[in-house]
Amino acid sequence: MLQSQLDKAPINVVWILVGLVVLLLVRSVLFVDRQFKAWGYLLTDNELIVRYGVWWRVAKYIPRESIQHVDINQGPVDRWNRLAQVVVHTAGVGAVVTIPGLTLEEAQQLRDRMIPTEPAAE
Amino acid sequence: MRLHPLSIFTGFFVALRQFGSVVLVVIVSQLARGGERIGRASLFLALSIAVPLVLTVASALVRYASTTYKVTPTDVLFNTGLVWKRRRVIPRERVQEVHLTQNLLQRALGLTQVKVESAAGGEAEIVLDSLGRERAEELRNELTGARGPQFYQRPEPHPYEVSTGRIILASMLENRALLLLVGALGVVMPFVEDEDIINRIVPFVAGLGRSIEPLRWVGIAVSVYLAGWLFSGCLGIWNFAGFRIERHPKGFQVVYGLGNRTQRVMRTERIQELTVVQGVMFRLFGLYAVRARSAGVTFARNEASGSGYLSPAAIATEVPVLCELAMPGMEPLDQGPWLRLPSRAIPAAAISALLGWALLIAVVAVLLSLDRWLDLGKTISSVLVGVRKYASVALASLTGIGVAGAALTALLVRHRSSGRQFARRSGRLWRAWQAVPANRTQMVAVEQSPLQRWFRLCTVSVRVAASECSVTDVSPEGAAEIRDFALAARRADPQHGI
Repeated sequence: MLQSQLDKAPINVVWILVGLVVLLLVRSVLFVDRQFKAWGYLLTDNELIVRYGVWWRVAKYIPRESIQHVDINQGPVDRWNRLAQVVVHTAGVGAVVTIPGLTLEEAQQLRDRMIPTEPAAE
Repeated sequence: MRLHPLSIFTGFFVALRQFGSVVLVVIVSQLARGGERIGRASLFLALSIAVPLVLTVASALVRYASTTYKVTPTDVLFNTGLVWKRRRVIPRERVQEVHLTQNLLQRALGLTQVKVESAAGGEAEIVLDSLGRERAEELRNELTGARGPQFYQRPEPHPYEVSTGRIILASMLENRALLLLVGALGVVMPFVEDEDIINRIVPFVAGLGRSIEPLRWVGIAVSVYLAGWLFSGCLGIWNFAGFRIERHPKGFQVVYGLGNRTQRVMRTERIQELTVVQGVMFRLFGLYAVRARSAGVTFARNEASGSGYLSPAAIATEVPVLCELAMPGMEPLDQGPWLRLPSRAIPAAAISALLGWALLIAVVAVLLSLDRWLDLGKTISSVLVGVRKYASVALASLTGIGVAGAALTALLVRHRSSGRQFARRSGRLWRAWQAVPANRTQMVAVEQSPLQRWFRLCTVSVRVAASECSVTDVSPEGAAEIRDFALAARRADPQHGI
């Protein structure tokens, strides 16, 4: 039933979808460099500042006292490339900031700077 | 320690209510099949009543036997479950709020339900169903840090009370959605074709049938509407009668309810958000609804999710008092340096709304053209054929209203960074104020969409643990000021957790 209707169509819908996917792929390949460059983070004495985004630009400021816990996550692709992402949690549901694409050492350093292991670091 | 032994009884009733609906459905479905088969179904009927009954008794017993709690100097421990065991530990300093509630049955038996909440969202962390009333108050005082016997014996005279008349008025003005539903039902009822349904479900409407004249059903609709109106007044009394706020060493206690009585202790230093709302109807009568939110998210069913009333109906002079109670040192909401958005925010908001509607229209257009191409029975088109003109007029006018509304919103929004709060005000007919404690900021996010970049505007949101206060279309300089204000307030007060 549906097939016969699809056959009647002047343009195959499947091809439209494939075209869209290809377009999205091309777009993401073209923009990956800009997206990569848009990412930045800075840990000051008082805040962690993260910014990202090419079209929609976002900057997030987290007071260091507000950091509840810090995760380091590695997906399979990350592990293959020896990369890691740092996930900073603050209180509340969904109050999370993710910094992807750090090297594992960098990620661990960042975490240790955010949550000092030495008791009297200051 | 264990729950009160009588909690088996109340637990039984709670469980019965859950199973009861199943039993009811079974019974009704059996009856609906007709009388001649009831004989055969009676065994099934008996089973369907007996099995849930046994289950409810068993579950109430199991719950009583397996639930224990303990308060140590540092933690609150809670164990429950026989097969699925659950253990919970909440550090006492993380306890956000302790709720005592009583339903009618519990009140008759002198029992109280205790809910202990920490900052994690969702359900209350610890629910102790039915402790003895004195034990419950003792526990509450222990956990919320009320010291000394004087509070336990008799709370200090309350600083705030809402009269029953005002509660009735407010709830008649407020529960209008329910009213509309009831009114719509009144309109639809006479049109129901199947007399069988009417005969079974609402025997008393049976006589009305189909042959009713228009004037009469208008009368019915109006009377149903009026009845609903009165009903919502009664609902207000049921939910909020005796609304009062008492002082508490760590904050205040809100007490209300005729059916379910709630006593909620809120710790001032943990309040996350204060909102004052005045709708059109409330404005006519000079009333305000004041709410406060803490990081524990569950609240009674009869309230807007997540925030609890400080007053369901306050008058203008009471609002500053309530604000002072929840956020000491806050500047009155009608004063202070309220800043407006830059004027370019108005076209920006209008264009943004227009783009949103354009997207919707484009999607509809694509669907329609796909429909024609694929000849999917011309489903959408055929429906639209008769009403195309009206549909496009409706869509156009909705777009117009949406765009004008967005522009008006942008025109009326104000924000204020003063003292220890970040606050936002919006609307003219529907007025709303929202304030969050800047000294407990968890995050400040500044965002810019492509359109906002074009207009040199951005969205800034100050997030606290349980809420956020965000302002769209501020200038980058304004956003930087808000950001610095919130971060500086946080830095100045590092002891505060959440």
